[in-house]
Amino acid sequence: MTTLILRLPEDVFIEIFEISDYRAILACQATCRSLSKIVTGSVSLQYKIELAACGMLDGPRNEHTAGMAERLRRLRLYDAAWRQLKWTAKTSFPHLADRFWPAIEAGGALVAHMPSNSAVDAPGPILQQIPSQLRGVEEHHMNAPMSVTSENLIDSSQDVFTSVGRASAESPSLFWHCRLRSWSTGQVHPLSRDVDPCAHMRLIVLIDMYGDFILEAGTHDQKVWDYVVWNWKTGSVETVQTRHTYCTCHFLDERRILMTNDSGFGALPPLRVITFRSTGSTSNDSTGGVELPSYSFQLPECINVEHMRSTISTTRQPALSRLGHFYRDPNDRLITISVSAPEVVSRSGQLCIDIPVQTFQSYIATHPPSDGHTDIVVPWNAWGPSSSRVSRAPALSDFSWIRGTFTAGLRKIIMRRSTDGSTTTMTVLDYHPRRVARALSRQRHGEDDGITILRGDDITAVGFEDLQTTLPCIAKTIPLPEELEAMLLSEGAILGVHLCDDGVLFVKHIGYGAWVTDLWAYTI
Amino acid sequence: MPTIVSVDDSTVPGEGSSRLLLLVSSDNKHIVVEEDIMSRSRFISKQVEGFEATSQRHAILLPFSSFVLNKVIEYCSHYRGYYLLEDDPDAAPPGRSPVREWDQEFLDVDRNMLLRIIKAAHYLEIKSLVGSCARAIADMIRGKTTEEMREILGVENDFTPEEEHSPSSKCTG
Repeated sequence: MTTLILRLPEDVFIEIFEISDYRAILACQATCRSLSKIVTGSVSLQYKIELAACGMLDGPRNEHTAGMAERLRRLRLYDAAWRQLKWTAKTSFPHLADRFWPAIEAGGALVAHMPSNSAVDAPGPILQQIPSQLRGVEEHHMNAPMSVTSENLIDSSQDVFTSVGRASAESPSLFWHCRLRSWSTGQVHPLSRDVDPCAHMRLIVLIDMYGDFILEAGTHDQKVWDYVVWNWKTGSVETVQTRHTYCTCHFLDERRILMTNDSGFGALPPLRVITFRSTGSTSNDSTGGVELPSYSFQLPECINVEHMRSTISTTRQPALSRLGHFYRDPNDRLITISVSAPEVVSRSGQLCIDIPVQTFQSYIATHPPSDGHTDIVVPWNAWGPSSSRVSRAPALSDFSWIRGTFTAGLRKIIMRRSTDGSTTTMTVLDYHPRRVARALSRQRHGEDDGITILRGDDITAVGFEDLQTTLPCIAKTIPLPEELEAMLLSEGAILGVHLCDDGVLFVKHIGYGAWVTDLWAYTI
Repeated sequence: MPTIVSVDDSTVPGEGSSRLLLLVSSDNKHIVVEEDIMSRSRFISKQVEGFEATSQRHAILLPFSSFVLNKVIEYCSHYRGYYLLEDDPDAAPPGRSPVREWDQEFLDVDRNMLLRIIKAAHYLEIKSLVGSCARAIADMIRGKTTEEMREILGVENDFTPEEEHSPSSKCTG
């Protein structure tokens, strides 16, 4: 007798699966032949599973965008291209030459400024969208109709351009002021209240932006710093954290910030997550005087955090029209920390600790504060070894010629030069848990993609047993294209490398911190 | 061959001018229901259009039990006169049907009943009810392992051992 469920019409199944998550779909697919046939036969379900497996989100759908079958085809090619590192021919951006050092923005966009000492009526910064064939995102650039200072943050999804400058050009005062403008009009952003809670400070630094929130640091004397989270749409201040030194600070999500001790000030915890809003509160709610929890995540005791440096991938989204057929989940981010450990690492003296940002959220979600304890210290062994990867940093000589952005989403690149200096390789590491799981499954079935699955480096020195980590990542190494290699050998060219969502961007500079002379990308 | 029964043009006292329909369930129960209650069903509406074209009204035979049919009629009676976007044949289908609290309570039934209702709703082409049932079933299977899923859905593992270990489901975690 056929069971009741199997007598349901196929489109009913598809309707059920379309509102189920991919795990439920896969579990159903594995129950029996009939259900397996339904799942494998449906383009929309296959696309849904593939999106989840590749860690991508579906882009906007309208009459101008590709249908489901085409998206599925492109997504599979996109995933394979990242696995095999099959780049397109290079794309050049000649209009960015003679600009200042570019900065990578979210979603494969970058910002290039005019040198700040150029003429007053110099053109504004350029927002450059790096194209992606497979995602269906075209090359596009636009000038901001304003000249701006050096500090800035862009959230294209909200058409916001945030910058810090003097209150007005005529103002003789040294007081600084954070302004939110519309990128497309250059005017004050229509949703902005144009009130900066740090405006009375002597010096302010713009740090990060997340939806409605801005994170700024301000100081009167450059010794004591106030870290202020405020809502730019309402003007309300969410939290102020005071530190006796300058830290690095990022939004973790819409409720938390992560402060890392990059200042060499030993008394500060290396990684501290501070909650600034309680669950479910709207931005207008005050927390009612309730102390919100903060978590200090410790690093291995044997590590010297004095020369700690950290970088994190960005979360901000590109504008709706630039999302393409599918796009990277903006919540997938990687923190990479370098610390000094001369006793362990002989060549560079540096260790790298790579941590997917989700690690912190899932630890906090599963370890709520117990009564009365809001300042929680999490020892390294309770979180680190299973959710991070410790490795030896490449030798300093490998880095001396290179600058840039080394993480995008959960991917990271490492550039290495052979000992004789004649060849350079690029390794792409990928920490995405589902992409890693799929790679492991492929390997078990004997498929060879030329990739390796890495876990932490084997660091066996006595007293450093804490440095053994188990978080897996995918690694694939390719040589640099010949034309690039030739350029590296030529004199005076400093190469900048920026990893972005769809490929790698190379920047040629003359001298450190100088103008760009050439800029091109290998994309997917 | 449907039984031709005479359904005269009488109206229900006090309920306006709604005509009556005779529905016959698979257990041969005859259920009389007002036409406009059932107008949410595309299947019934098409039948009624057919009656009007041929000026002949007959009983509508349905392939499910009176127990299930009554449940569907209860649903349709509750939403009598309400506009639900999913049931509008001229509207573009909404990406995701909304969660309706009443439906959640209404569908708080055992698994077999839920499967029977969704099947009936699909047959009768009541999109809003199919959507709500689909959501209830999706909630039921969320977070379950394959083995638990077989238990819930009442299906047998009919894969050969080789098939079971093939990498057809490459995505885990």
